[in-house]
Amino acid sequence: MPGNDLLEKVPELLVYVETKRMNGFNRTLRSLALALAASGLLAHAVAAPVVSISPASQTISIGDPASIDIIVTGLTDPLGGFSLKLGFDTSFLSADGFLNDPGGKFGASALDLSDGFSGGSLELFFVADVGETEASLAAAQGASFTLATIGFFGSANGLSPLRLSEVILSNWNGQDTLPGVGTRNGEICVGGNCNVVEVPEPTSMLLVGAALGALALRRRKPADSAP
Amino acid sequence: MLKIETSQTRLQAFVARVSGLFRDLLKNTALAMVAIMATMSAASAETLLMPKRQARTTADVVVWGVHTQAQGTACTLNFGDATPAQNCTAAERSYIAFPHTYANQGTYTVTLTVGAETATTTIQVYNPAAFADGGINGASNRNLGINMAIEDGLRFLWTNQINRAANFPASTTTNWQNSSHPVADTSLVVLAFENHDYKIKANVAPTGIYEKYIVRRGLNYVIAGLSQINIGTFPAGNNPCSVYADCIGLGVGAANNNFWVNYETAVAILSLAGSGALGQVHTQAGAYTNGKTYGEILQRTLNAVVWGQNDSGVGKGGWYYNFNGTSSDGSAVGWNILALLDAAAAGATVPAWAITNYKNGLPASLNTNGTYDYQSDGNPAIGNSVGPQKNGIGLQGLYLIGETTGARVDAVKNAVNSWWSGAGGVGGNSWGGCANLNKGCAYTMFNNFKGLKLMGIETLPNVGRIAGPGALPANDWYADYEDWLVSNQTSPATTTGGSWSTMGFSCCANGTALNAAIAELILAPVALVAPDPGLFSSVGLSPAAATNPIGTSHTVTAFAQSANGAPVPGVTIDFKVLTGPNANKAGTGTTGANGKTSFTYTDTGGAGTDTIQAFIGANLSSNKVTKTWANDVIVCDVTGDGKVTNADLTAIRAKNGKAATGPNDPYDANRDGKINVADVRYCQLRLTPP
Repeated sequence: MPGNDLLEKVPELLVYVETKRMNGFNRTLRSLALALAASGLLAHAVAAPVVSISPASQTISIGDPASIDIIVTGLTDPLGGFSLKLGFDTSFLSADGFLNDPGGKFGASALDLSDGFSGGSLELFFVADVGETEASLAAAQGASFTLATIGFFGSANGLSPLRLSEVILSNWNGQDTLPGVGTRNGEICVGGNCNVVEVPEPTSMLLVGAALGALALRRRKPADSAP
Repeated sequence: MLKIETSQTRLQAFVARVSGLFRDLLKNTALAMVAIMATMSAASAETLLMPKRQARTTADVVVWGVHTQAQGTACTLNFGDATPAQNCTAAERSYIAFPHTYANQGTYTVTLTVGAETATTTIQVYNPAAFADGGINGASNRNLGINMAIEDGLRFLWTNQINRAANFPASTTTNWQNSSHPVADTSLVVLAFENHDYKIKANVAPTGIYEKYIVRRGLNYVIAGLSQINIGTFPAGNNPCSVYADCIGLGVGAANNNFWVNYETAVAILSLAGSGALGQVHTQAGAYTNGKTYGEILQRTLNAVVWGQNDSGVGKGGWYYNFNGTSSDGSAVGWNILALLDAAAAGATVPAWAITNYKNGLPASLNTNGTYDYQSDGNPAIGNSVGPQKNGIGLQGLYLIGETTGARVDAVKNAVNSWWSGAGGVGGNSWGGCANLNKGCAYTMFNNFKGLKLMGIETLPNVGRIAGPGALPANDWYADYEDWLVSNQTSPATTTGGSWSTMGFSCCANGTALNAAIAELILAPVALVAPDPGLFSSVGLSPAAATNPIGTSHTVTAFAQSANGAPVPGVTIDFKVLTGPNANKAGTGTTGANGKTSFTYTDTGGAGTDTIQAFIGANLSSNKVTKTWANDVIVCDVTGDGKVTNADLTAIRAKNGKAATGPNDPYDANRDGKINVADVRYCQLRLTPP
């Protein structure tokens, strides 16, 4: 469906917005992206599982702890394991610790083969309890759950991106990996002044205008119809 | 600066993809025009025969075809055996049909010759007594009877088209009318053909007799019955315009919000979802749908249905006869649930809030004893005009909200089971309409069929059917339904037969076409819609190859998916080891919400290579996969110590992210070409017992 195909570009808009750091427009763009993400538009566009960072953005002070969850959504198959890398900027953040599968969704005796933190990277590698079946994993995991919880401390003022990479989701018995897994990155601002001054380009302005127009249309309620 | 360049690159890629999208759209439109032109040019003379089918030596089989030449053109029908050809010159051209008995087992080529044109088809004839698995009482003969019933029932539906002779071949539409709601009736009939895998391909002129003259024309009729409705007003958070921001929905009689609009619109969705051809461009001069794809038409119709979900009153979250009621009607809910499930299986966007709203409102309709209210009363302890007809809807509703186990599922299952004999079940009956309130009552059977299949329930204690033939367990409810439908088909060996004339539909509608459509839908191997045949035949079964030690077990997984990758639940899939040391081992499964079901068997035949295939009904088969059983292979033993231990898992983990060195790289245990966490999980499940 042409309309559907167009909507599949919404995540790209989100990524695009996340990569554009524009003073003034930054907040509007971020709000727009989050609004789209919260609407059915994005839910429609993402048919495959998505691994994301929650909260996507937070602000802390130097010396304060910050915690993020790495969550998976949109599952139609239970997971038998996962592996991923999380990159962050050691100029602003220091590692505190990590906990795989905080909800026990992989069973009581899951296998943790994570390498852990190394510089500005965290590598996780986690496999379900050998006794878990497809049915038990499906019942425990449902369509979404938390893969891991990560802790940081703010070490200096500045913005650290949190970037997911090499995300692999194994199906319940390891015969396949789940295809088309999407990722959504995040960020932690230490000190509260993390905007970068850039001049909006004409093309990005057009994109913002189009997206704002779509948002306005979504909210319009014609007066001549009633349920 | 680097950040800006990255953004520009993304934007350029974005623009390029959007441009490509419009190129694809133009290309598809062009293809559609070519298809239409091809169809138009093919309006010259045409001779077609029925699809290939099966028959028994012990009974007549109706051999039939059609032609588009002038009535009275010289015509002969050659049955392909030693008997004389049948003169069919005087036969009505839209149904040239003759019963014929084949004396001997074999494959026969039937030829219809009309003037200078000929058409052929094949009939596979079996002698039931010769089946090796029990002769006339064996599984093969039973399966043969089911296949024959399906073909005869579809033939009946061909004959039962409204004004068949007058409309053949020129009319662009065809329809059936039993319930005063011809769009709904037609949609169910078309779905029956689609679910037996007689489907059109997007923007390709259909050539098969059913695909061209039933499915394509029936879909034209259904779409022609849709009209626009403004769906712009909705409660906060329930946005039905998320896919098409113009907030234009489609419905049957939608413009006037007719009393039956919701009911009929939900049923209209079924054939669109079942088409498997969402890229097909509809052509209907002057209509809103003209030039729109089936996918868009399906989505807009679905948008109207979710918009029409009740937003207030005791029936909030349910559906009523027309859009946006305040009471929830059990039967309206049933068709709407099916519409949502079918549409989702076809790959349309079903908003999560619609399911959440239904979930929240379900206690107002689903009673503690497993019955389902006619009009929701808000009290789970009291039934409102309940009856066995609607019990299956409870299972469908629970499936829709993802509740597949627990007390409510057990209660509905018990209610369905309690009425299996047709009398005296849980909650009483307020409806009547059928002599037997289960078998023979099409509406009850269809709701039970859908609910039980989707829930993966195979047996019910009250069924009272003995086990067999073959692997069928005792009290297999679906086998019981199949047996009933085969035994109660009306004169299937006659040219006017093939219906289920003793069936009733419900309290409030009836008709032979409607009942035949329901019978065919129940006999189909799918509870919702048929998966994409191309994907199933190419990648429907995995893994493609594997090697294991002899005497161990192996699991293959079948995946039923629509053309756009959406999983299709409720598909019955048969597995069989075709060749190799374990030849003829077989199993059956029904796909779950992820569209998958698995078959596990243990090697008892020793070393060698098995070839395995999966099947959906008689018309659809998967790719073939292999399994090699070897004496000297211990999969996952990468350390070579003769057993699989945690040391092997650690060693595989150390190679995480690397490509396999070849098809037999021991670290790539699942043979997908990559070494990663899946291989560790694969080997973890194969640890040598301590």
